[in-house]
Amino acid sequence: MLWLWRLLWREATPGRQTSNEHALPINTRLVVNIDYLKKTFGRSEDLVIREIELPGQKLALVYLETLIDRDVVQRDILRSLLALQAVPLPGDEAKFSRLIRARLTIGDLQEERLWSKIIAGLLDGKAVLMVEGYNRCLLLSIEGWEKRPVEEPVNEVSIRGPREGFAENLATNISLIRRRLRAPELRFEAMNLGRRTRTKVVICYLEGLVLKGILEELRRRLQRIDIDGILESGYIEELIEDAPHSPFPQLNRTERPDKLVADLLEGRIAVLTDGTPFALILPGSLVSQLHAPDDYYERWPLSIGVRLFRFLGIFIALLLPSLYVALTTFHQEMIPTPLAISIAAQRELVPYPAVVEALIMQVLFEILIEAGIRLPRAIGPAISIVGALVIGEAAVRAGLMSAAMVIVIAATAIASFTIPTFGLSQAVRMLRLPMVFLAGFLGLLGIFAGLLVILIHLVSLRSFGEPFLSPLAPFIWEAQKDLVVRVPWWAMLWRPVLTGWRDLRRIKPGLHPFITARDKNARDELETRLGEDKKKSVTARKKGRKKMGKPARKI
Amino acid sequence: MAFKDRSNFLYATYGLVAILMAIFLSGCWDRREINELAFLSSMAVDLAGEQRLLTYEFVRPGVTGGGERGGGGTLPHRQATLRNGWGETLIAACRQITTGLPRRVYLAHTNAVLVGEEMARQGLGELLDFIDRHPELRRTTLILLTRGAAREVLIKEQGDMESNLGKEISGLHKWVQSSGYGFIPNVNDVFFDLSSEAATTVLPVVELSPQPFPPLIGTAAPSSSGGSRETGGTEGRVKEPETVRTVRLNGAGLFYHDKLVAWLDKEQTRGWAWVRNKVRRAVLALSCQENNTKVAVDITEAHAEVSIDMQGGQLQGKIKVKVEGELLEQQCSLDFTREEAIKSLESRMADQITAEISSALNQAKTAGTDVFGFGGVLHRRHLELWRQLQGRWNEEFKKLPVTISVEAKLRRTGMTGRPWQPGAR
Repeated sequence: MLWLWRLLWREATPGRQTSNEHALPINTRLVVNIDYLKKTFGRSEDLVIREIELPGQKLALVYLETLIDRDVVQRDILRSLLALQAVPLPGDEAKFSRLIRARLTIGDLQEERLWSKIIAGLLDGKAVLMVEGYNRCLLLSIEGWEKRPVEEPVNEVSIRGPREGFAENLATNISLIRRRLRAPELRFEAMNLGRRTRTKVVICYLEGLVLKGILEELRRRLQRIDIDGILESGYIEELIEDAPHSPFPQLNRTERPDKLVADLLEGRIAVLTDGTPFALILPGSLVSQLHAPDDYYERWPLSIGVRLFRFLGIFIALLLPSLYVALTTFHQEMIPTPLAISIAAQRELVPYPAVVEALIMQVLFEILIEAGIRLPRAIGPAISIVGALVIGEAAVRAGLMSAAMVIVIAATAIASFTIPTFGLSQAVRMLRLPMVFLAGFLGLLGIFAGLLVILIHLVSLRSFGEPFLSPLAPFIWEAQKDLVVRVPWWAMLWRPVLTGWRDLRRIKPGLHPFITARDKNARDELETRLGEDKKKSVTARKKGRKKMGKPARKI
Repeated sequence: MAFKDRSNFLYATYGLVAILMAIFLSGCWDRREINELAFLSSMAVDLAGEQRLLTYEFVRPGVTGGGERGGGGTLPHRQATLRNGWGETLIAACRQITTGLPRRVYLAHTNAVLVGEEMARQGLGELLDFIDRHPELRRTTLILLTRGAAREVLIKEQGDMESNLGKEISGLHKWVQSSGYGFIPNVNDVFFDLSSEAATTVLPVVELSPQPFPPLIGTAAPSSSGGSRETGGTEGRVKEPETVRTVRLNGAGLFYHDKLVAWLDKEQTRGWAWVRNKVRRAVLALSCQENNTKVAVDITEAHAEVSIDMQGGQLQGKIKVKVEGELLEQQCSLDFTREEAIKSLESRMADQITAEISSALNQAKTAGTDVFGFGGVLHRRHLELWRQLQGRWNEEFKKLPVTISVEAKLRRTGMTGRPWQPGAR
């Protein structure tokens, strides 16, 4: 046990600091600079150093050709530079620089003189334009690399709602958010994390709505990060979360821009990481991980029903096998007589106690799921057939399992997939095993002991200072409108108090489709309109009677 | 789970070790697999001299689960097994059964307890105490009486619809009230009755009722293997009918304190049931005026009230019954569109119910058991008087004059009003 403790808790020895070797300005001599770059990048196949001789001036264009857009280099940079040949060049440094800036058809360019900045720029996919005799150079933004198109999110599927999901490219993701949230208050704060990967990480929030304290805390925690590499947002999540030992994901993750924007509008903060479609949202809460985007897009009374089933689903996923074990091995008197006898009859041939049976089935099922994830697509269907045959049919036939147990495990498996976020469903799946164990050991007492431990843990969890069970454990009456039930939008007047208190009003009151008595103007307007309609209809009826009446009398 | 410092973590580690040791070093002491239990479905309690004799009917789950039933001609088999044990006390008898049973006796699903006549005469007290004290037995267990030894019914019953007697009785419990002739109380009801002022109760009597098993015409697809029960073996002949011994309710026993003192027959049981509001539905067969033909009325609503008054220094009991019924059939041809016909039928309904009640009342009076609850009413209305009479209430009850008034209504006459007669269109 202790070695595990040491392993987990050994203070990270202060590692090599971010290297300062590039904290020098560039030389005025072009040759020296090119040598320096060649030395820095070594034998890199993709480093391109294009030297250009203009009358009276020597230039060098340097870039990593795998990160840039070749068309832009050809069309916009080289052509403009070569066009300079016709123009007599001024000897003055400042004038020359201005001339180049005026001639280059590149949107984003900046001057730099420190090697560290220049090398970082090269690695970001910028081109460096260096000029003989100048002690600074131009960084030209011409990034362009292979991108995956925006596709439907794989893990967060919804029936109704946008089909766009985040891709790996950070700029794409930011554009997806910008397009949905056209507010000037929308902020994207970028930073590079990872000593070697220098991954771009962007904090995204709505100014004026976000809570300053949480934002400060997030910045502090992110700046503390000093790690070799950030390959996925999971790295960040693990380094900034509040309770690192908890099985529950304390930050919400999403692949859906619509969900992210909805969270921004509640005053939450998102963290986007370059190279992954998974964004982090904080402060996280258990309840919001149980809400699916469709809940807000579909008709509200139906959403309530769907949510109820989902909440039921999480309980079934966590407790059904352990309840079955507890009832069949400790509390047979709680099972209705005919069912008890039929379960007993099914178990006649089973050699193991119910706990062992449940544990075997659980383990088999977890392995099956894991195998299903890792399996190449082509042999995917095979595993389901094997799984169904092995677990469903043969095990019962062979007398290894009882049919009731198969039903229980199958129901549990299905229920566990109602949880909309994968992280939470994994947590529930993994907590199920100890629950079965406790049920086999202490019966219902064990189940309740286990539930208590889980509940105590959940209540004590915090995500960036906010309680994880937020509208439940510090009970907030107003927030119950969006917990199990989801009231219609015209009744959801307030943002969540915990994250949105800087600007609580979410919707203008009185938007009920039948205009309520609360809004007097609207009622008056409605009455006058109704009055006119009434008059119209009365006159119309009179006219109609005249028309209809006369011919009737004639006949 | 976040540990602030090292010592907290150590505590947690020790805790974890303690839990692991508790798990692996202790047995799960009251763990019992469901397939290692012998489910008791019903039991019979008898006296055999000084000994208590228990007969247990266990469900055989292996048979119930996947048992294939034979073809149409076979007699139904009871899917249960019987064991008995005896001893000086009930629990001793119960434990003696375990000496011959490969599984743990499990009493929590017991449906019914049959009490033998001899046992009932000696007193239900020890049985009720046994049921109430036992952690597995429940107060919702149904309790019935038998004439003679209870084990006789339990052993000889063959079952028909259900696979065991317990199931059969709990089914009876649900539907028997629609005839008006019976009811089955559970142990809690009995406790309730016996703890009340009058300290009396009524238990229904269950008895064997041999039913002829319908004969089959063996023309189509005679089975080659099922020759054991075939008498002739030649095709096309009607097999001789056999009997299936099922159970039915017939009458009831009257208890004073916890002892059986008298019997009620079938009609008297209904007479008692009218007064105690135990009748949901009942069929009255009333004679038409002239000849031996009958007219049948189905009672759909029945409500009774019992009261007791002091009239001129004399206690006077009153039973008021209100019933509503509808006409189900008639063998004569009375015209029920006429009001007089309905009126006279209503008065005959009232007469018959009154007769049933007074018959039951007479029986109860001779036995001195106040099963109609007059004592309870007196206790609530005239507390002082009750305190005086409490000690000799069963004697007082024998002398108590009771007036019975029945108000009967005929609400519907079925789908047709006029009688149908051949040739009259």
